[in-house]
Amino acid sequence: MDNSSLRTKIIDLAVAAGDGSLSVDELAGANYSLRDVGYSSLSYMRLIDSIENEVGVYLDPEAAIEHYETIDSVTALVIASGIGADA
Amino acid sequence: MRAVLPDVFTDVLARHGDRVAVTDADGSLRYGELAARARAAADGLARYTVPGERLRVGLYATNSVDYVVGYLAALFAGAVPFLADSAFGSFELSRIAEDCGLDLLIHAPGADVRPLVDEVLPAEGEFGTLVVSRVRRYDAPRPRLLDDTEVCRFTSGSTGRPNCIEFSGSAVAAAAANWAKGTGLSAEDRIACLAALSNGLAFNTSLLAAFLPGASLHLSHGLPTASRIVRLLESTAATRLVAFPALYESIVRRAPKDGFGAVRTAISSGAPLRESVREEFTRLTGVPIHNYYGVAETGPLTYAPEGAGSGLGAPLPGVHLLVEEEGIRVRSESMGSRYLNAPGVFEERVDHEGFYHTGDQGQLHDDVLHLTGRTSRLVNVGGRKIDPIEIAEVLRAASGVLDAVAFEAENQHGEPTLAAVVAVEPGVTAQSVRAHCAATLPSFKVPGILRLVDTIPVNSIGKPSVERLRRLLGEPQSN
Repeated sequence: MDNSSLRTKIIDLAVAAGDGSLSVDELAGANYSLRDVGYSSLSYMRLIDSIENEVGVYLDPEAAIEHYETIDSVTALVIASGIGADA
Repeated sequence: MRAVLPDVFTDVLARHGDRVAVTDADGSLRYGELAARARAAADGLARYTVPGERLRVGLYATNSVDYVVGYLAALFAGAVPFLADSAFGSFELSRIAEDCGLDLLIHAPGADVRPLVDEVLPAEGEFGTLVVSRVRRYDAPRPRLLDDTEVCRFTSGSTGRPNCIEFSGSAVAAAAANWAKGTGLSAEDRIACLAALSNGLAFNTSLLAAFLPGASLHLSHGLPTASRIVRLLESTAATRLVAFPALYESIVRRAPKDGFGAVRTAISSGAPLRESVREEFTRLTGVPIHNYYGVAETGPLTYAPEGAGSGLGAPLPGVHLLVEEEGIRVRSESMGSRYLNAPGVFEERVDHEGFYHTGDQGQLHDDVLHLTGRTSRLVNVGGRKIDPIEIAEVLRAASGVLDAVAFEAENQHGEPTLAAVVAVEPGVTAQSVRAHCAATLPSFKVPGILRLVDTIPVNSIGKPSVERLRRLLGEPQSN
């Protein structure tokens, strides 16, 4: 999976892990900042689980909070964690 | 009046000296080492004691060995620790500091505490990775603590002002002793605690309760995702897991194959656990999940030793539970005394027989408690209680918002969440409303479901119609 496809997949997973009314358009309008849309810790847990399940990587939830603030930083964290390293 | 908890902790720390007391990802302390570190840190705090006053020390940090050192240091220094939820934002924290008259705050160096602290105080590493700051002085006189108050914790108040519950030392000690006895904790137990120690679930089941028999406490901060917890369980060979339902949901989503070999007991509290999650967790891991019922103001009340079904178990030692048509009343040895910052509110809920009216409704079947409802307006999201009135007020302050109603609804995962229906002027977007909330509230209070409308639907007497509001959430959003 190339980085662009990975980013698109993580956007979809982030919307699916939300409570239900967060849309891709709203996330785009917030410059893909999960922090700025008030993404909750429960949504983060669902997102991390779904990334691990679908991308095959272990994401350390104790990694610095900056890694989880935007779709781009999460994507970078997934790439740095080594896709397929820990399915 | 001689404090109770310093003596209790001094005794257990000495009694179990060579055993492992507490660990986190960065290190561990044996009981004797914990005592030494806490005493050294207590000496650091004692420098700031004002004659004739007990220091009020806020603890605002995630779980760690250093957190436990800070808590014990406050007790050993003769201070009163105030355990604040690390998920609170600076608004809630400032209210706590002002309402309760905090003197000092123990916190992580990067925490956003600027609105309420004057300066970081010099220290020589007594608090490990945490630092101590002096809280700024407020003009209003601070409320007086009861003479026997030794610990303060917080519960949801209204309009963003958490209520501060005062606990006597004997109440804290009784909660721990009754929990340890009622659930069969032993020196051989290793407790993996994923709930924040500021919360009643962890505070009552995993702190002093672990230390009384000489068990070890294993802490983790950050989000308790399944993968992370499996690593913690494997590295500690934990026998007991203490967590909110969200962790059990996560484990079921990830379906780990290993990690639970040593776990004998899993404890869930804070919010209802879905039966399907309980069953699937046990099927995956072989570990039963035990319910317990507790109320912030009264401490742990019941425990279900069988670990099956939706029942919350029988009363713990020291608990007298009355289940009546008008609700559940309880009298326990672990009761709080009052709210420091809301005079009379706690007392109104305690009747002439000393029973606290919980606001919960339930039934007893074969001495097993089952909850059937709640009269409180608070919304419980993953174990955190949210006042929808506070959220509606914040929403109404957003630019272009005409009116707002917040309430509990089910999200797309079948879990309870906070929803808001917001009447807005043309051009206002969900994004701008959500951004306003995210900038004002901690993330757990931002409505997960947001629906914009032209007008709030009302019933025949002009009040928001909950039925129509809920129906709205099921309809597609119009543009």
